[in-house]
Amino acid sequence: MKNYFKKLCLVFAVCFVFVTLLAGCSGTKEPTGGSEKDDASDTQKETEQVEEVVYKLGYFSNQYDSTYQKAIENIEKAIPGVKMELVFYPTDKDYWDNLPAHIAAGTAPDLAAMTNEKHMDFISNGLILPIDESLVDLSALYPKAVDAWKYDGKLYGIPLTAQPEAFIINMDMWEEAGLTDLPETLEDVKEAARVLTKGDVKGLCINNHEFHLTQYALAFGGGWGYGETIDTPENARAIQFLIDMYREGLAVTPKEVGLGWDGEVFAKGLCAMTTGGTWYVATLAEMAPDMNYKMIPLPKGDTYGSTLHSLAIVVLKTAKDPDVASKIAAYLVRDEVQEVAMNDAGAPPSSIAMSNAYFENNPIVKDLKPVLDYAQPFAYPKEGQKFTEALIKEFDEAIYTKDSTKTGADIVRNVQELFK
Amino acid sequence: MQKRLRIPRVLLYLLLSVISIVFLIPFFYALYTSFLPLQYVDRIVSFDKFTINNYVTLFTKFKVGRWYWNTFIMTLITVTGNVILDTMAGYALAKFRFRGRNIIFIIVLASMMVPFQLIITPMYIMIAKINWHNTMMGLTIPFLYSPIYIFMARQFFITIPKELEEAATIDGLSKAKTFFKIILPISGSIIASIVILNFTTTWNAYLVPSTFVTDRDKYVLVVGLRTVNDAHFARPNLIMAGVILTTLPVLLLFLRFQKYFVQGIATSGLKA
Amino acid sequence: MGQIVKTLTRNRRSEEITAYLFLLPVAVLWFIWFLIPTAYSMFISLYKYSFVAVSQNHFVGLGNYIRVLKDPDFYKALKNTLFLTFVAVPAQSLIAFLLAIALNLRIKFRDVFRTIYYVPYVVSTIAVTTVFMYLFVKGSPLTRLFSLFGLDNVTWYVDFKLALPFITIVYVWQQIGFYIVIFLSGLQTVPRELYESSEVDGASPFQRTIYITVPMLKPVIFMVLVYGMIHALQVFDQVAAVAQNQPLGSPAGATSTLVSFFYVQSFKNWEMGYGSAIAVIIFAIIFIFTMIQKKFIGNEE
Repeated sequence: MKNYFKKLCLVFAVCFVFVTLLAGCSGTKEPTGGSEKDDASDTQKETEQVEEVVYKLGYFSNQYDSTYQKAIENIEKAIPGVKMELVFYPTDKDYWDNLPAHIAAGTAPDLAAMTNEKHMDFISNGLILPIDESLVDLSALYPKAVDAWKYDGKLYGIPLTAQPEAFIINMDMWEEAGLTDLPETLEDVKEAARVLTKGDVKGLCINNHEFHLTQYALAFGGGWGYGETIDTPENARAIQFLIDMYREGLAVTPKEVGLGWDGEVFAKGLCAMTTGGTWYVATLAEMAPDMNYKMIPLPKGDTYGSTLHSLAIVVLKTAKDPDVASKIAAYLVRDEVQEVAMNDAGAPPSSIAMSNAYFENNPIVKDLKPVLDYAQPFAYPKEGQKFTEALIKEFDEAIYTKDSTKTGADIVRNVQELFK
Repeated sequence: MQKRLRIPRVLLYLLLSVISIVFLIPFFYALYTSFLPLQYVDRIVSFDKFTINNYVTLFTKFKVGRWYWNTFIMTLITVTGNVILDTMAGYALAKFRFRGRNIIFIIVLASMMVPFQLIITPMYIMIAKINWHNTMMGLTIPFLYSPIYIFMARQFFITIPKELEEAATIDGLSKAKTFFKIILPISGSIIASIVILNFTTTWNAYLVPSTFVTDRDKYVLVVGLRTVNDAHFARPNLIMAGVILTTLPVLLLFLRFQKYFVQGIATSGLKA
Repeated sequence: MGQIVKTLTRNRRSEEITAYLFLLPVAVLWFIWFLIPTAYSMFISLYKYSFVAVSQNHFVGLGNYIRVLKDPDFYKALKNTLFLTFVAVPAQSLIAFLLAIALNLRIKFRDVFRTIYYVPYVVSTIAVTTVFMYLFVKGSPLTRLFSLFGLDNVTWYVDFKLALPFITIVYVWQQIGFYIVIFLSGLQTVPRELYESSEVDGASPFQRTIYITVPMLKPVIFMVLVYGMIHALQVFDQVAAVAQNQPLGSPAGATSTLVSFFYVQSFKNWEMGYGSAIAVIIFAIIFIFTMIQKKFIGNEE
């Protein structure tokens, strides 16, 4: 044991020296996201004598690797004096959880990829800077997509994607149950669910996530109105519809069958219908390649409703020069990037021309194209996190407690309380 | 001695085996799932559907080999540091008399009562200031000691009868020499404990490596394996393959080091 | 006589110096990497502080602390944490103790058994929780078994009453391996001669355990209980694993713990100042409980 201990000390000493040397080499350079680019930019700096600033783009999800690599290609030519690097975060949770620390420590990126759901939190905290519209050309992009990123008259992100919401039906189950016409209203959906609910299979999957609850709210003519219109009869009716479906035993949440999200529930045939989006195409191709399914707009409640889900490039407050960053953001969403996003990540582009092509070339999502005309922003209150937690908490209490008498009206009233 | 336990012995084996199976269920699930293509996850299938594609994907599409290496170095350094520093500190607290001994022990205890998530942000800011983020230094240096192992070492050394040290002192050894030459050689089981436990927690650590290191090449295994999910859906088959890859080295290490959990020769010297 | 006293004091001083030297590396690291960040965090607790909305940071004195004591979510988290702690600590300590004794006997395949019993601690919390979520889904064999005892046939981790017990089970299950290692290590310090001589005296295995093992293991048992409590009061990983992409503490706070409450405030709501105050209060709670525990368990030697 004594010899072992001595050996351990020796190993430690060697490692320490080794690591110190290694660290010495990497520690003196600028903290980066890719060492080869470092060398390139260093030598370039010396030979060109041009003031070159490195901008960093933060994103998560390796699905978009190729997209963002394409995005930052040739940035030096498009915007002189700018070099770019990608900073990758393992999950979106890591990204948002670590961001404040990275900001405080000065290692945060300048730009980021973000979706238009909880972006209000960041806007209200001054984390995202408004983009000067005079600096960028948005003419080729879907107006609705651009609108999704506007708040208080200012533009806060340049959209890369424009995704309508979808209602997906397992046609194998549909036909087997003897149903013919596709549902046109949510009442039809309820009727169908009654037929389709058999044994372990439930008619409708309702993921108790704010994304899905919002779809129904919009379909009943409601909407959160950035916190102004939470407590409205329309929203109450929408939530009540969901609660009723659940209490009648026609609905299921992913969590209660041990799954992570609605896509898994649907792919495993534990539900016949669900709300979702174009991302289902890739999911089902892998998890249930033999399934026959159809994607249609969410059936009418009192009206047709859908959210416009959009991934955009935003300028963080840590950006070195916000104007330059704005121009970079516009460059990063150009057509060729959208094409990669469409092909590799399966995301409908925000450019009008490419979006048309997307829907033309993918028959399975063709019926969703008209949705883009009436899709709306999510419109969560500024304190998005607080809102979603309160909403889900209330909803969970209503559906997971056996003898709950909570109504949709109760829920929206309670949540509105927090946002007076 | 054997006779008395003959009947209960069979019962003992039975009980141990049943508990073993219970303890192994998640591991078996992970193992099973790691060999399945995505569409068969959570279904019972025949062996011909098995594939090693998941493992192949991890090593080719993702930089698992690299991450293994990073994790290994980080863990090696951290464990080595802990073994040396914590035993020394624990021994001092157990066997030396000096002013402030009780206070220091209470400080050690109190340090375990601060939720780590609280200090990780200020730590990161400090790390970033000296450019230690994305480096091995940042991942190891602050963690070369742990209050829990100091505590453990102290408790262990307390049980060593003081006659042993008195004998050493009479033989003319200083306290320090006594530690290195007499005590340590018989401390196999505490060192093994620190090695095993510290290796496990360091190897599996997520919070620090994911905050301190954002460079994909420098990820640690657990962090890297988190990235195999796509934005919208999980890939349980890949994840489980990753779990197996992460778990096996630790188990092998355990197997090797638990051999030290045998009766020390601490007491045999006393008879003489 | 004076000569002896001089030598003794010289020895005592050199002993002190050696002790300080032994503690020096740890002390330095502790000072830089623990004390400074902790002090900084405690300092922030007196402010409304966010790394994000920096312009709104301002001094609030004890305002954050008062806010914590008025926050119903805090008390919910506290209740949950206490439940988990007072179930988990005795359970894991006792089970680990018994298993360690069994794994210390001279049995065949001992190495293999020991490794197997360590597996739960090694497998990542996420994988373990996933499996447990399967096992406790509505309609599963295990759930149905429990329903024979009067519990509802529901998915445990979404049920308001069963979610916390679910987490407790997962937690204990994982922690046992850790404490087995500690007990195993400690068992090695019990001289075999004690057992052998007691056997000659006719003691039964049960008596041997009570009268030899337990007293000899007092320091280890003390540590297992103290550390067990300190750790249980800070449970977080299992809560995060169960919540997945839903709010921590789902369903609706039934599984929230002190540290998960802290985490949500600090990292989700970005109120670092408020979060720090919560952490300080957590520290105080743990400290008080530990001191009480120390009194109860009494002397460790």
